[in-house]
Amino acid sequence: MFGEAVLLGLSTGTFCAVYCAPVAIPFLFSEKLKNGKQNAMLVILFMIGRLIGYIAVGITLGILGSYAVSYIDPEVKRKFAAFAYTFIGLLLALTGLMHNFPGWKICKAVKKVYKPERGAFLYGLFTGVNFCPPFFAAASRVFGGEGAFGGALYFLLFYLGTSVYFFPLLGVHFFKKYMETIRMVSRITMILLGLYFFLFLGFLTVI
Amino acid sequence: MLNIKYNKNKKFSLPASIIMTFFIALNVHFFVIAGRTGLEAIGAWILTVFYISVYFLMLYTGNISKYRRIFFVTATLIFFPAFIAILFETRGSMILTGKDVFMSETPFCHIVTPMTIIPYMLFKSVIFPAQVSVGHASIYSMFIIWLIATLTIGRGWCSWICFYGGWDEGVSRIAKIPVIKLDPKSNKIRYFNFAVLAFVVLASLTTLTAVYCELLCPFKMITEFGEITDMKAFISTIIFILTFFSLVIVLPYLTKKRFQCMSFCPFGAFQSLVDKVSLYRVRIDTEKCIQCMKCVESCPTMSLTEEIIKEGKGKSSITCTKCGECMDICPKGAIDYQFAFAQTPKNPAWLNLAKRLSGARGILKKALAAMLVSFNEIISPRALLSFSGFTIGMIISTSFGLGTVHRLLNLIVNGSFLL
Repeated sequence: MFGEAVLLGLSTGTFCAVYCAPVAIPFLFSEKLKNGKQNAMLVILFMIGRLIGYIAVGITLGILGSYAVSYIDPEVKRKFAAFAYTFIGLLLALTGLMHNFPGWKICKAVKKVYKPERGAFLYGLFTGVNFCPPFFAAASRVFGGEGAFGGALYFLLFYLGTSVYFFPLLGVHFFKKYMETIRMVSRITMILLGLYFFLFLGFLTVI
Repeated sequence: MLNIKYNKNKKFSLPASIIMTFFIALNVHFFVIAGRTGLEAIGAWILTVFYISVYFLMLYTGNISKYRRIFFVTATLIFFPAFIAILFETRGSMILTGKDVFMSETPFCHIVTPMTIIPYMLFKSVIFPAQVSVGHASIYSMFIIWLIATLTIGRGWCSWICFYGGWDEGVSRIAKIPVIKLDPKSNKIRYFNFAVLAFVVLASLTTLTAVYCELLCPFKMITEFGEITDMKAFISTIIFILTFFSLVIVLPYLTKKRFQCMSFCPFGAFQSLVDKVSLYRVRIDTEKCIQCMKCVESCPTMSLTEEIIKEGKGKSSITCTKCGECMDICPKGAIDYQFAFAQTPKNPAWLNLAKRLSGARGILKKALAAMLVSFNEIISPRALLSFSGFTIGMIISTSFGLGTVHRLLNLIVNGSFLL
């Protein structure tokens, strides 16, 4: 069963990458990366956040077992995704605004608490608990009553399988030639994506 | 003595203009006239006369940008009446219903291309509800046209082919002087459409829907729009109206810049990125350039900057739409199209031969010299780019353009615009 978790992650990981890419790519390109080490650090923190999200869901589903069926009820799933997108959207929009309009009051307030490392972790965490199709497949497998440990282990292995597709993120710092332009574009993209996630995938889906 | 110096005055000789126009006429015959009958045939001939005259004048006068603009704006103006009429004829309104989407009866517009490529590569599914191969606006036909246009004129698409771009261009030419003068130094606004591109590509990946069409496209106002059934549809309708009036009408008028194309269109940004594979570039002869900055002022997409001119970079930025405005306005003729693979303009061997022959006695030698000069003009980047741009632009807009002329004739003869 646990070999299956890795294979499930490997075979469906492109979906995970696609769900996380809109958050991870603009975030990484918007930061002034000093070197490959800082790039790797942010990716690792993003992945740790994502891992914690996965394991948290794994433990919860493992404990609940068949009770967790309600968790994948379409309505609950929709609200859960909306919750995740609302927070991701807010985070993206605020970070984007902070980069683009540092003089604004709200941006000054955000800048006081914002650190790229914190951002990376939070982005990872919220994308980790979001319901993408492979996540859904893994979740339904844990309902069999694996217990907290079994559930967590299953999600950990599934996570490792999907992580292969995140390796390209380690290469962001290689884009040196046009970095200033790419950073400027990424920071605007963050605002657009943030507003879209917050409003259209988050807020409007639950009202 | 014949004028054989490379692109000195940019006018084409009469023989070269006639030969190139003949080739365009062949294309026009195939795509516009062939197979038409009745009122439609009359409409096709009207359109043919227009196309051929404009193309001939474009070459013969050397005013590429002026006649390109006439062609481009006219193609846009005659595109939309037929498009809207067909919607009324087939659906009874401009509203796109859920049934139309389900039946994949939405025309595949080129702006969708960048949104669909990555999801298609990853999941082998097209995220836009259009016909794959049936109809005049199928995915295959649009993709093939896009591929050919990209390999030939690249981002020139935005000035020669795009049936939306004519709106910006037309409106931006109404005022004589700009009401708001944009500072050429602060031209970062042209990178905003790269952000829109990144946004629509990433958001489309997340939702596997064509996000730009659902939320942002200003041209929903004049094509087809969704029913207002919920809050999302209501907000997107407000966005369509606001973006159309602000980016396509008000700001181009006030600034005399192609605002929507320059700062918002994701397809324009996409074409800028793939322009590297295209055949033609806009090059500035730094030896001829006197740094008068007229080209910088005239550039409708702010793709030429003072920095580029002062630093003698010799080329426009990647956002250049190859419209030819800078070439027409340059007092020294220092700007022209070049082949991507040719770094500096050189007089080829046949031109040197023509130079020698034109100085010699004998009518045959002079005729041969004239033929060689015409040949040189015909194979010049200027002639070939305008030929490619004009042909593809004509192909893409003819179906609806002819539809409009046909319907106008029908209105005169039968009293109804709808067929």
